Amino acid sequence: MSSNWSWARKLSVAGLVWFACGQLLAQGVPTKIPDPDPELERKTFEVPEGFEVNLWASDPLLAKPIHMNFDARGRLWVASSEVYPQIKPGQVASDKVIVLEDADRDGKAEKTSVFADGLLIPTGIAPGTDGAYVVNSTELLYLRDTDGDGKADQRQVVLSGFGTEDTHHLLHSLRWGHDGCLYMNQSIYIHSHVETPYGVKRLNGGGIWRFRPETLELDVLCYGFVNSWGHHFDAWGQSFATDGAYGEGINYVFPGSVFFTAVGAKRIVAGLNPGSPKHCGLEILSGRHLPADWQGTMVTNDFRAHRVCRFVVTEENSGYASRQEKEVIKSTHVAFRPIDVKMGPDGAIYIADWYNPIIQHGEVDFRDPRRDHVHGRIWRVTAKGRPLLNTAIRPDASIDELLSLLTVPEDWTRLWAKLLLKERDSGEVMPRLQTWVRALDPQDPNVEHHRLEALWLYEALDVPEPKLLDELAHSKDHRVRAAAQRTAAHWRTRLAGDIAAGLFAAGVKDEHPRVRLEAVRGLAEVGTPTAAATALQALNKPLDRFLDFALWQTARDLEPAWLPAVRDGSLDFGGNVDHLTFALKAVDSPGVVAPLLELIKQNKLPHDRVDGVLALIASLGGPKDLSAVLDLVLNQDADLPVASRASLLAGLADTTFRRKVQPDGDLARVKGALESPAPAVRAAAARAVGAWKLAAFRELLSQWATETDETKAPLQLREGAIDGLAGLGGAESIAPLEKIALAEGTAAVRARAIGALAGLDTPRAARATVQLLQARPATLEPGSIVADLLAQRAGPAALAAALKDAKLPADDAKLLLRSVQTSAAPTPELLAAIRAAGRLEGAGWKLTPELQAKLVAEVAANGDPQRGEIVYRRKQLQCTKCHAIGGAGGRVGPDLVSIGATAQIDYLVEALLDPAKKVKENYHSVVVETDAGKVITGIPLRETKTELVLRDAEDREIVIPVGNIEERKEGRSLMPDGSADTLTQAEVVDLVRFLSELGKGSQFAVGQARVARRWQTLAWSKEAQFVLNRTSYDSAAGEHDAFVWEPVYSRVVGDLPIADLPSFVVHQGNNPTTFVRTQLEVTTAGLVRLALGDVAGLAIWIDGKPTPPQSELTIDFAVGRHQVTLAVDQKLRKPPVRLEILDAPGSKAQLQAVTGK
Amino acid sequence: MRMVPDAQHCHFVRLARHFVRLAGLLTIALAVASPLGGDAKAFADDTQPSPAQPSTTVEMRDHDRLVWIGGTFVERMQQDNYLETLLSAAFPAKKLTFRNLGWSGDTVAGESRGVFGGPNEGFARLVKDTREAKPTVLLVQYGANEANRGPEGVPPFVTGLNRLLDALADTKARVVLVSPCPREKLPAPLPDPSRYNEHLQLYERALRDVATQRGCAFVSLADVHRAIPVPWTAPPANFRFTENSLHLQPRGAYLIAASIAAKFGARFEPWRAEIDAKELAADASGVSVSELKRTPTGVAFDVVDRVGPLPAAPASRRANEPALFAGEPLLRIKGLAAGQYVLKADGQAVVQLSADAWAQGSTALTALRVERAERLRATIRDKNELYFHRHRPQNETYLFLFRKHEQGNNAVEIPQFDPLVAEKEKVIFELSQPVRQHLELSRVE
Repeated sequence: MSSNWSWARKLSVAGLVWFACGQLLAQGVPTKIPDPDPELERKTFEVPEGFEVNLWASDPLLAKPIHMNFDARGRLWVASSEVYPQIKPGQVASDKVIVLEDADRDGKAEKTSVFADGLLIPTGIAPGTDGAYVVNSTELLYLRDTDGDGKADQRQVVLSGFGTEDTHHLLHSLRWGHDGCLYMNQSIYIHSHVETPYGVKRLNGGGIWRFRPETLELDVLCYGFVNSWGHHFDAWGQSFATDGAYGEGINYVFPGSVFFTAVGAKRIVAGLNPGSPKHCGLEILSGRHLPADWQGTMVTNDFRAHRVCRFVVTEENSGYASRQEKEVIKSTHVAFRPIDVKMGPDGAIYIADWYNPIIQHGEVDFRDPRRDHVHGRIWRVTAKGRPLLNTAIRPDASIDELLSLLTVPEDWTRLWAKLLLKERDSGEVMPRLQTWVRALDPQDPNVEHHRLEALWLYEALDVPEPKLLDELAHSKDHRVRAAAQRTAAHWRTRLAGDIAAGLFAAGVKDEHPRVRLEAVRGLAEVGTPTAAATALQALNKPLDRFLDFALWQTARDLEPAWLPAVRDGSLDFGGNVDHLTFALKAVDSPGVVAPLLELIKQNKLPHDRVDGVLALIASLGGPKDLSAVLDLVLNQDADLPVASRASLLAGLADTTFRRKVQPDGDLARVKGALESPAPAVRAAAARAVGAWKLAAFRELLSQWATETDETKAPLQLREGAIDGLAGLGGAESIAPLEKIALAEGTAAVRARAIGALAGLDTPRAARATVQLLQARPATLEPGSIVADLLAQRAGPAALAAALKDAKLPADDAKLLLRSVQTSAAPTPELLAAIRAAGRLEGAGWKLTPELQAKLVAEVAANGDPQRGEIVYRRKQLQCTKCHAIGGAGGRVGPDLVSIGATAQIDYLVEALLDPAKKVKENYHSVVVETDAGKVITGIPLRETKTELVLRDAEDREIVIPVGNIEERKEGRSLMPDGSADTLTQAEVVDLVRFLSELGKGSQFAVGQARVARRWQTLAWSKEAQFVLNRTSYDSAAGEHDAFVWEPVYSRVVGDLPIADLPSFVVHQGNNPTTFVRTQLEVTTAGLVRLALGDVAGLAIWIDGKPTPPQSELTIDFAVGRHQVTLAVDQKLRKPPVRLEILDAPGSKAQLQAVTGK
Repeated sequence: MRMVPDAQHCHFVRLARHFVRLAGLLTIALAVASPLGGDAKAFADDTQPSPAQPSTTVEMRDHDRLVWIGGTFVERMQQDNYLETLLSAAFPAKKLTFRNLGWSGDTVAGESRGVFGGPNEGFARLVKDTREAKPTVLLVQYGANEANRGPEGVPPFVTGLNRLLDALADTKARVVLVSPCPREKLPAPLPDPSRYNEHLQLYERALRDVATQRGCAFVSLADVHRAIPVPWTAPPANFRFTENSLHLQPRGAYLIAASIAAKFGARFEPWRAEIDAKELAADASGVSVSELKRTPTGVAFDVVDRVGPLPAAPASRRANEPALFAGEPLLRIKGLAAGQYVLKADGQAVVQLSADAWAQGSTALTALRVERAERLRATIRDKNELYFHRHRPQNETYLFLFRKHEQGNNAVEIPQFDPLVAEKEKVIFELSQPVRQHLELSRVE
């Protein structure tokens, strides 16, 4: 045992004494430092029936493995780092590449050698034929062993300029592709600038690089991800990726695809398992050692929750669907950190175990004494009773031998055969390869795959082979055709004439959507107007979410080619308006406005499209274009529904606020809309009056705004008029607005007037706010009343002044505190004023090191996770409003699905009681000041050249035009301080205990069961009661304006407790009844089984149709969203409800329960 | 040093077989106009007379702090460190210090340095880091990446360069503009760089003009290449300056460094000492000989090198590379009585030769100098690595940027690199001092 560990143990015994050491105070007690004996670790492993795990290699031969790959001879190359997370001043970079070998094939590595030393946090390793590619922080090195002694003696910097802004984001996950290129991933915080002979290649943020070492060509396969720590190709060349920080399980990756967090992305592709925990590493299984039903399945690691997970991925439309299977390994050992997985030369599954109770360096101090720097393991998973393989390839294997290996079932063997052939004399390989392809048996059921391997070998050799390419582009197997399209894209510029373009054109019409997707992406490279027209022919067949994205992306990529051609009239997409509008809507260029207006003027657009197109024009056009839209809106003869006229007018007004452009010409012509019989149109016109400063109509607006007779001025018209007055501004607007704000009446209108007033006269608005707060309107939360006021620079000070000597009910004051803390400027004065108004002094937790130590000890000793879950679910605590567990819940804060397996108790205590101290990556807020004097805070979601999208504390997406941003700075956590102020110490202890169990065991881990986790419950209201009273329960299964559905979430185990949900007694004598509903998203149609368990006291509707209650229902679902509604008789039923999705035998149906807020 | 009975087996002497006496190199480099053909014409001197020309040499002063900014070419100088080693050795008394601020892919706008911020932050950081490095001599090498944009990139390049130099004017550093290297033409499948190199000439000209206008020095790497007597633009198949047509491999880095050092006033005379044991007379260049006296069985004297220790040329990665240069420290002693003589340096035996062989001369003194030069170069590399961690630390996100509230406490470690850099610089000063030896030649009985 190393001295580190005994030291750590002593500390843990020393307990509080250790806390006396001032310097270490903040770092907490080292809890649960395990005994590092590998056998003790192994004993915690649960594996599926018929499998076993043995220790293949361990410390001290191996410390802190980060990434691994086998070479052709079956030796395992491991990049390992003891320096991680940060080199200390004076520390010598001593990280290593280690080669492990089990030469006697007894299932244990007996030979370890240090191939290279002196590296700095190497995060990726890909063995080549005489050495290895190694990521060394900013550089990609090739370390070569020229004299064959097993040690690198030559070091070549192959590429440099990779960012190091975060050492767990460095270039990583190196993989050889079927095409002989090296694929490399980088994570979200990395900014790379790499000089190549083809120019500087820059990648800011995450993505996957594709690199051909011989030519130094470097491109980007896809963009985005947080920590894309897994990437592999299936047998047909399709890419899949996993992510260690965002939970969507397996992701299907194709050229030009864009994922979560991509810099500048307007739109992203979602993963295949939303709500899944986060993963590291990815291997697609193959080979004769594993049973048939494991072939092609995907293994990745939930390193937070100590699990090695397996997914079954099946084809679905142009993409895939994925479902989790039982874990390959499940453990309770806190230091078991599976982070990489690879198939080995014996056909077994190898798992790299980073072995560490601490996994991250963002939230946990770099120098935390609990960090392990010395241990590491490689585990081997084998199928009991099935023969092991020996796939090692002799270095002197002949060309013919290597060619024959292209037909074996083991993916890695075929890959290495190609990589070795790449090193041979291509003059010898070529003729033999030709002979080999010709000699393939056409009757062989796998012949198409063998031919595909041959095509990939040509790619690896970098020699285009148009004839074989053409044949495979017409293969009877769609997977081969799709792969051929990809190869055509790679070879495009080197094939004679229009060969590639011809293949793409045929591919766009292919009967299989994935072939169409590849063709569409191939066309993006061609760069001509014709290519765009060809790509858009994909619209002639159905789109799915992947193909839709691919086509949208291609339209954007090709914009410089086709948009000028459309504008000068040389391209009209064959007269197909669908194609043209798809393309025009895909790009955010003002250049699309003129062609779109032309379509409308010529009456070429179908009616149901006009709306969307006009909205696009309103958002992009210049004064002339906006004027044309306004004329259409005002033209009584135009065939436009009222709702469209209203929304277009609103869009025009909005454009003026956002982009500071307004329609040309005499704007007083909006008078026509102000006289419209439709209140919605008049309300929108009133907003336009404000936007365009048409003071002539001020009197009219004042009149509408102050009119309390609802028959004369309906609510929406008053609101429009209030907004209009705010837009007109000036002293003359203040009086009517203040009058409304102070008048008795509808709280919503008063709040609206306060919001309008806030920008004109902040102190008056603040005084009115306090009056409204004191009136305690039941329908409005204090937070929404003060939101607009706080968004003003002077807002917080004005509110603090207005609160002086005011009194507020304590609960309202608490809610107000919460809103203020998550606002842009939570000034101490304002917080103090609210506390004083609510007489809240003395309440709340103040986290001191002593208190933290006490709570940490309490949590371990007495915390009850069951009770803690009840606390977590309490409505007034609002945890679920911002946090999800397994995808179900708010998205303001991180999904807590495996927080317990990630975070130490001291961190959880701190996160709860002092939330701003450490913030999870991607949950850092920014504070934006706009040129209109507004201050907005939220978590950045996306940013393009024109828009910044934030998610605010209310889980709303706020779009801010980049041009309006004057200043932006870092904000704090959106989790309010004092969230836990209402809790007793026992409740805090239970709550932390619950959080600390999340992701562990079976009760608090989200398992493979596909259960509905996000439900909605019908909130009680007079109106809803009235509707149900006058109709029947059936109406609850439909939509009604009077219904307000509020989100409720299942417990972690998957059921929904019903006791506390709102219930209705519709008629006297009826039992109280609760209504809940949930949605299912079906992506492939077919039969589905829904298991409801005990159905006592339930009535069921599916898509609004009453369905007899049975504990299991089999339903034939079409593609789309479906709704299950339950009426729960609270007298007849006490147990929670549960809805689980099961497979119907033989059905191809794919569906998921809808998650989110 | 240990007894070396046979010079042929000494490691350093083996190294020294590749040794390029810089004197030899520079003599050739300065004197020989290499035959140019093909693309090389692109880099021939401007034939049009220029009204004014910038200075093409740079004078080193005491305690000069040389700060380099630029892209990958500059950044990768930290791989081999030849230029720093040669300048340290050439000016041992001036106590020069060096800061390499090269950043891959960078441009005059600081495009690579923005990290999470936009272009303005990249530029601000370039300026801030450069100022903090406190240059007295500022070497600016930009244009290589801009040149990918072709002719239309020239005007923004000139504007950007002036903006950068204006922003750094308050450092009062003597500015040296260094033009980018032309790309090397390497065999397929690497692409043909001719078109890029044509464009690069426009940038070279622009740099020269800016240097003239601003009165700063200008070092043309195109000229430097041309001066090296290897046909740069059409090298023989078995010779490479670069790894990838852009970035130097060790041999290329060595040759280029030697040529640039010459522009900085480095002078390396051939090391040659001829001692007449009979007449007690010495004739030397590159070294001074003193205290020459007879001993009972031979002769003794002191030598002091004119410059610090000079590294050997690295072996080329490619086989059969033509031997470019020759020349090693040569000690020749004539007038000895017949017999075997052992040479001791500061009491340690170095080599044993016959009187006839001593009259022919020995290069056995090479080893010690090469060994010391390699230690110097390794220390410079260590210093540069420490400084790299100082000015471009990993985990910046947590240390200084938007997650500093989490791990910002660890940022205190970063300035702790400063004393470590200073310690290495002390060692560098010591190692770059000229070799002084007491030599004694005695007959073996």
